[in-house]
Amino acid sequence: MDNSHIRVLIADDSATARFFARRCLEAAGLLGADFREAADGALALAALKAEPHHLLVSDLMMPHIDGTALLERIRASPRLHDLPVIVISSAGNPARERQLKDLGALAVLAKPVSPASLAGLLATLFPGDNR
Amino acid sequence: MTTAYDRLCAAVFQSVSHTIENLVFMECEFIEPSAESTAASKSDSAIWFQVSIDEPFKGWVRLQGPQDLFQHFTHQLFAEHADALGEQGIIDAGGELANTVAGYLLGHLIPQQQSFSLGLPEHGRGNADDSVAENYIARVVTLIEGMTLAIDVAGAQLLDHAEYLPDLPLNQSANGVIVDAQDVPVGWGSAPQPDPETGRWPAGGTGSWGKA
Repeated sequence: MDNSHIRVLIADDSATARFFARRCLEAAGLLGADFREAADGALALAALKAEPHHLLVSDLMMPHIDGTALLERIRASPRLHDLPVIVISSAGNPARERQLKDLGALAVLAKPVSPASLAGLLATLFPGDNR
Repeated sequence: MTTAYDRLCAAVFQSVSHTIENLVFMECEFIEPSAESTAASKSDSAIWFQVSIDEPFKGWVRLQGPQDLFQHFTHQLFAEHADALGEQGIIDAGGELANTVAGYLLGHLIPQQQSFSLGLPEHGRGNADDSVAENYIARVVTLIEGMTLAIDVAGAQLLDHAEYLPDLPLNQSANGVIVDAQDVPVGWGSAPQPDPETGRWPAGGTGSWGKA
């Protein structure tokens, strides 16, 4: 299956976390997608404004602009307003999940994330593309 | 009868084993903390990673082990790319492990309607006790492919929250591995909640608090 038309941005200040998230996304069905990476929220916002993306996978704790502020700016932007955002965080719990979903997050997943926890979400986002 | 201290140690071990198994696909074996078991993780060649707990109370979670162990983690994660990442790859992977362990632990200890906040990972070399106050409240030691990883946690309120965890076994099964994440009782993470108006916790048992 050709996923090269699907552009995904992974925002996390940890290279390990970005690498692991990419592996999980690939295993969950996005093998061959166009993955981009950003090491903080400000770089992520710049990348999203520079090119259209189909999905943002973001950490919460990041320098400059954290995940919550990034989500708020995305929802406030007419261009980015509808971008699906999956938050992957070590600081996720039901209270935080409610807060982030109120801000427009599609899903909030606790680290360590697994391909199984992403597969259903990706199937909904990209139906028939590759599964 | 298990104490809050026992429950906290079980929760710490559960957090570490779940993280290690899922992130770097390696199994952890619980071993009793002792001078011998912790010596290897606190040698001059040791490296430590610490994540602070900033909210709703102050504390920290610290992983400490030989450099070779963290190098092994990095190779497990990045495979053929690990060598190119060098020292920075080890530091990043160790920090991410500590961050994930701390988040998993707090996620199961803190009441569901309450959020928590962690700091960014810090790291250092040698015996962390030389540079960080020796004020941990619990220590768990694990054996991973023949190398020891010590996990210290600080923050007295961790014990308060651990009071409400159901008993988790800390005894080894036949293969030396304790419980898997799926074996965690349903009640774990849905412990009694504080009164929403007063913020006070319901009365619980008293555990014998102590240091390993």
